[in-house]
Amino acid sequence: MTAALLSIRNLTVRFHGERGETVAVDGVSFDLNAGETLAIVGESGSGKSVTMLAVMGLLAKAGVTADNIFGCGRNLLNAGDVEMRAIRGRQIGMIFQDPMTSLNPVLTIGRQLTEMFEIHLGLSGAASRKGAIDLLNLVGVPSAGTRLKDYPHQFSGGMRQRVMIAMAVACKPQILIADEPTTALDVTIQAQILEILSGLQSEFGMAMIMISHDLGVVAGIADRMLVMHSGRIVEQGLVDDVFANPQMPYTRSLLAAVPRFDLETEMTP
Amino acid sequence: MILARKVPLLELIDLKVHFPVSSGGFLNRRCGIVRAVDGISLRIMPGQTLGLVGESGCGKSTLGRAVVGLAKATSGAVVIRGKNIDNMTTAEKASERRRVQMIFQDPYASLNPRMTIGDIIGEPVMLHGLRSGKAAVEARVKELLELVELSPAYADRYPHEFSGGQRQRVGIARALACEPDLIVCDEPVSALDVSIQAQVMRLMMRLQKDLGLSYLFIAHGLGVVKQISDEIAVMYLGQLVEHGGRQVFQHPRHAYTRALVSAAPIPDPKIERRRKRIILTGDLPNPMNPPSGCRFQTRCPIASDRCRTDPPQMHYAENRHGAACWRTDELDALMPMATSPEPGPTIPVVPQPIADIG
Repeated sequence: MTAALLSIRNLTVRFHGERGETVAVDGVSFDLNAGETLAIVGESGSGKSVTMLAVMGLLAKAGVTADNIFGCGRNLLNAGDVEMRAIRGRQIGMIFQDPMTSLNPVLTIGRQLTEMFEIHLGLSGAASRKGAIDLLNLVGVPSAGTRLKDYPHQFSGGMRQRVMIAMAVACKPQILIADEPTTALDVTIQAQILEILSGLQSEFGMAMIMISHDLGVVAGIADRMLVMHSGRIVEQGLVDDVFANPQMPYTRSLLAAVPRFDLETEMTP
Repeated sequence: MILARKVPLLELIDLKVHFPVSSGGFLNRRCGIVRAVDGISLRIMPGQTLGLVGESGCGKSTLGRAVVGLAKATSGAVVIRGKNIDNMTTAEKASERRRVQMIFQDPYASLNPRMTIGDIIGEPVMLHGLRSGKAAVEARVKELLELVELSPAYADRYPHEFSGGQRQRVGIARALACEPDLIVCDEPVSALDVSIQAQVMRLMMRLQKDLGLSYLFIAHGLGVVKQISDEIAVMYLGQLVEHGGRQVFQHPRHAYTRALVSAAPIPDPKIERRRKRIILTGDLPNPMNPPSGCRFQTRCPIASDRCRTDPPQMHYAENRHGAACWRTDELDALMPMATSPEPGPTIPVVPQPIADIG
């Protein structure tokens, strides 16, 4: 068996607040293998987003402890700020839920996209502009050349999320972390975005971590899944196994709570 | 049929709600009209639930707001129990309006943070004179809290002390305080986690059974709509494209509904792998400048010349399943539904409490 692309052992994240300490992530361990899609599912507050923010080094160091966070051939736990900044974007790309708050409203889309090439790949001028146009074409933004001059507010929700994806995959990262990438979108647009994501994944051979509360989305895109509850992983396995034969009562009740439009099931009040 | 002879609780007749758009600035010229709701006719019978689905911007919320009187109809009529709202006297309006209440999507934004739960629920009881005297109002508030499965002791607390699901129950209690016949529910569970969603849905279904309520249930989630609705209506860009019983999702007769159903994810990996998605291109067109002919033609994978010029009308089949699509009879050939697989071992839908791990 080849070594995992990302390996996390006993990750714990604590937040200190007015009412004392909150343990948001409580001893989480998992591996991500090359080329696979791993889904992290759970309800609000289960710690799924915080887990990935900790891995990316986006939380205050003081609250994050782990036996080991190993990714992209490095120890990410001890990596300094400069090193992490080089890894984020270059080796690990990230897409957030809300594309409006994660794009800079006062910079053009072109400026934000070319920045990726300039900072991480050292390209300049025409080369990075060409790269940006290619990327927008890849994620299906029409008339990419002219839209580079537009600002985020001139794009629709679905188009903004495409721009976010373009930025995240600009440097062909080994790992793409998508935190609820389609939650804010309508279902027809969601279908477009999910298709783009799986297309890019097979094209670049990326591994993907998809954080989602939508079990339907997970069923469609993931190979393996982790179920989180109160900061812990309560169940993990291949999606087929977890959906067909959930072991934990929590997973069972979570699956049973999803209303199905495709089946003739009656819910008793 | 017996049902057909009853007076509908709510009837919308060619309802239009248009919003003028101004250019802003010094001259503030009118520069367009958003036709949010553009000619919709629907009826809801007593005790029934009509589910209204559609994507953001299709006008489904505006329709709901027009029903409760929060948006003014540009033309057409809102008829409550056989009486046109426009022809009512002010006093009649007040009493009829009381019978049509609303539950909002965001339980954080729809409760006044400076009022206690008891005041929030008690205010409509007092305003409509449904109970007289402080003690009677307080007793009614306690009754209503119990009805939505909250402790009566919560009456003195403020909204911030409650979770999203509990707040939504408070919103439901406030609507029930007016003793309504119809509740317009605008995305009542979409802000909630799926386990909480199931609890609130179960509460709403129990209340409907116990109190004989009707719901206009507006949502974008096909699953919740299917769960609660007797009839389902699908909206696209201000108009109704399909309307019928639960077969609307099983065997859609409009190209848009087929695409919508095929895009909705199903929580079963085996089905998901087998499904063929109809991926629509592009976004919803600008409602200020809707396309000619069928409004869906710009994104429809099977649009013909006729679809581009002539707007289709709603045609009902014998099973009262209507669709406004020129190509409805060719859909099975042109846009086949991904066939549902043989019923495999699926998880039984039995109400069970969410287990606590810890």
